[in-house]
Amino acid sequence: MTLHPFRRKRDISHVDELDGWLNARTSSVNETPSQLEGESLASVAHEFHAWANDVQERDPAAKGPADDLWNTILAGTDRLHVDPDQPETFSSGRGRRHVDPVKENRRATDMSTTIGVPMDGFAPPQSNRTRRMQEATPPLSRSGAWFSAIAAALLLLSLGGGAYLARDGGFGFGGGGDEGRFAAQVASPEASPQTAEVIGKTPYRADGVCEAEPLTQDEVFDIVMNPLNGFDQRGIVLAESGTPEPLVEARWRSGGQRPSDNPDPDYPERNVLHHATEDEGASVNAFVTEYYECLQSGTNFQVWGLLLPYEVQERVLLNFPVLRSEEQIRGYIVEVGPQAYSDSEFSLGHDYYFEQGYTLQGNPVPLSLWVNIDAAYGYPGVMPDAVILSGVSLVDESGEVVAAVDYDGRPTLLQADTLGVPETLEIAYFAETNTWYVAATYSLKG
Amino acid sequence: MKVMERRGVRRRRAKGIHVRAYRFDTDDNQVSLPGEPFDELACVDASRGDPAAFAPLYERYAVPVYRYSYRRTGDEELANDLTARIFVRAIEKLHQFRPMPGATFRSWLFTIARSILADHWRRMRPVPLSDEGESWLQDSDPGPEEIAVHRSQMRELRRVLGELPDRQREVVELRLAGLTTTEIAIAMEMTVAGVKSAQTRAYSRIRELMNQHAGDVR
Repeated sequence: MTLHPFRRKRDISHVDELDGWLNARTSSVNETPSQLEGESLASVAHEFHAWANDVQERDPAAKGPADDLWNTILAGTDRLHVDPDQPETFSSGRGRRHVDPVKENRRATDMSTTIGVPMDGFAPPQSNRTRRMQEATPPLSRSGAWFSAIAAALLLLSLGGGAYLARDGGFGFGGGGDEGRFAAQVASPEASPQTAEVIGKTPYRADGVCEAEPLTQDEVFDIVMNPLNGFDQRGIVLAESGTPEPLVEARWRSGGQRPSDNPDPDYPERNVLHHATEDEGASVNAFVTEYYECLQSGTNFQVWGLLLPYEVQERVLLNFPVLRSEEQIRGYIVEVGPQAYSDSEFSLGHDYYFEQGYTLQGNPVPLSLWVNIDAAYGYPGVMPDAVILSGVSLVDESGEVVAAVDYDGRPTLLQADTLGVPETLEIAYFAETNTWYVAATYSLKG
Repeated sequence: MKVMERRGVRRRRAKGIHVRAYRFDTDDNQVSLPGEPFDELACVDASRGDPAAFAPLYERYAVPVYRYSYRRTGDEELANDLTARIFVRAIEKLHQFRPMPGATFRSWLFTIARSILADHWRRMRPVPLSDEGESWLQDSDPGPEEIAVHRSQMRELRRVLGELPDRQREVVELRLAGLTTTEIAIAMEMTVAGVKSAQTRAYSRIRELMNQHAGDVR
């Protein structure tokens, strides 16, 4: 058997033909189909692009932005007008009262008072992503005694080592001396029994009481100004210098999408999910359950204490338009922070379930561990030792789980299709302080 | 009923960050400079100290950025809001832009666009297209039939894109926005070879989908 000497070359040529056509299209859209072979990829691309352009031209909603959008943008970068005699106030219930920008007697608040924008007389938040703590602060326990119990168990089992990401992407724990040293691969589907001893076996707690340590007003404000401050507060050391400077201030994960079970063939090391066992998920489940208890019975300060600093910032700023001043932010924190979470705008669909007599807990089977966090995780300088995706269970008053979704939002109980649960969680774990934080939540559509 | 409840929640959250609700004086803003030769880098330089000087850049990229947002969200209001946020962020961060070979303003702008969209999707799962269709059927005030047909085609476009793996979809989205291979590689932090590979797979898949569609029609 002989291989055609130009076979590979021909195979590559259609790649280059497609790429060449697409690049040529950038400078000249009017490539004629007659120049392209009937079924070639370039011909398909031409047909597809022509169709897409036609569709977008014909659909009024897709054609282009609103006519006045530029003025909105320009105003957004220029001035915000606020009545000096009536500082921004917030409704006591849901949401925040917005200021009418065309109101008379307005006070000019320029870009200099917008969070994160450089200006005279105000030092913008500086990145400390490359700064190491001079002296390690004690780990902060954010959720009370049960959390300390997990910390103690982990500490005993990982003495001298601590959790680490193994070279092959697994999540392991090292330590315990020469004989006791092990590196269990939590990430593998057939995880070892030792792994379960490390992070598993924590009894579920669903006593309806939020025991999370609340953040203070100043802590929240510092986080909103710069989420990296939150890591300092919590004793989490950020990445050393040498981290490539991102083009923008945050490197979000690829495409902004969840990792999936079908990894991209171009980047097989990314987006790989490994399923954890029930035992391995027990402590994660305890944390998730604590989180939902705090949503049900805790204050915003307590809930924010369970969130990754970036998430805290997001949830606060979500209530503001693009422009916001320091005093508006602080006023909001002072007012909303002590309120019950269930009374706040963030509660989304949670209160619906709580009002129906349900509680929300973690769904430990299956969990998903997101490996190769360095490549996939999106926050600059923040390197959790593990990122775990967790589903949610809906539990009725008798304690029976009536609906549950897995980490990807797929129902693991039949009823979940109709009853639904509001979200799945992404949890970041930091071995150095042995702390877990909710890194992101994903709303589900019923 | 429960579905509607939750869709309401989604809307409520989106409204919290809505920009278009604000009205501003527009008299002094000249946004279009038709017929003038366009020096993008000079425009960038001029815009660093004067946001109004960014207008030609907005004029140039508003449609591709908006369409990029709209294709990803399928929601006109949200796409406008995201577009506003993308440009506000770009203007605020313009001092960070440093042109390099291959790293054009366009690639930088779409890096920001991806970041903003990612920020959005971090907390909002995309609405399945089938459900989106249901919401159309439930619309109590449907538009003219012609618009309904166009929107149906738009939904079909989004469905085709939705059939692609995330990275391939992203490459095609950026191709639709007019980016070159190198610009996409920079915006997505990929190699040029990776972009070529992904787009080849993507358009192969699109060919399959289009053939399937043609077969269905027959």
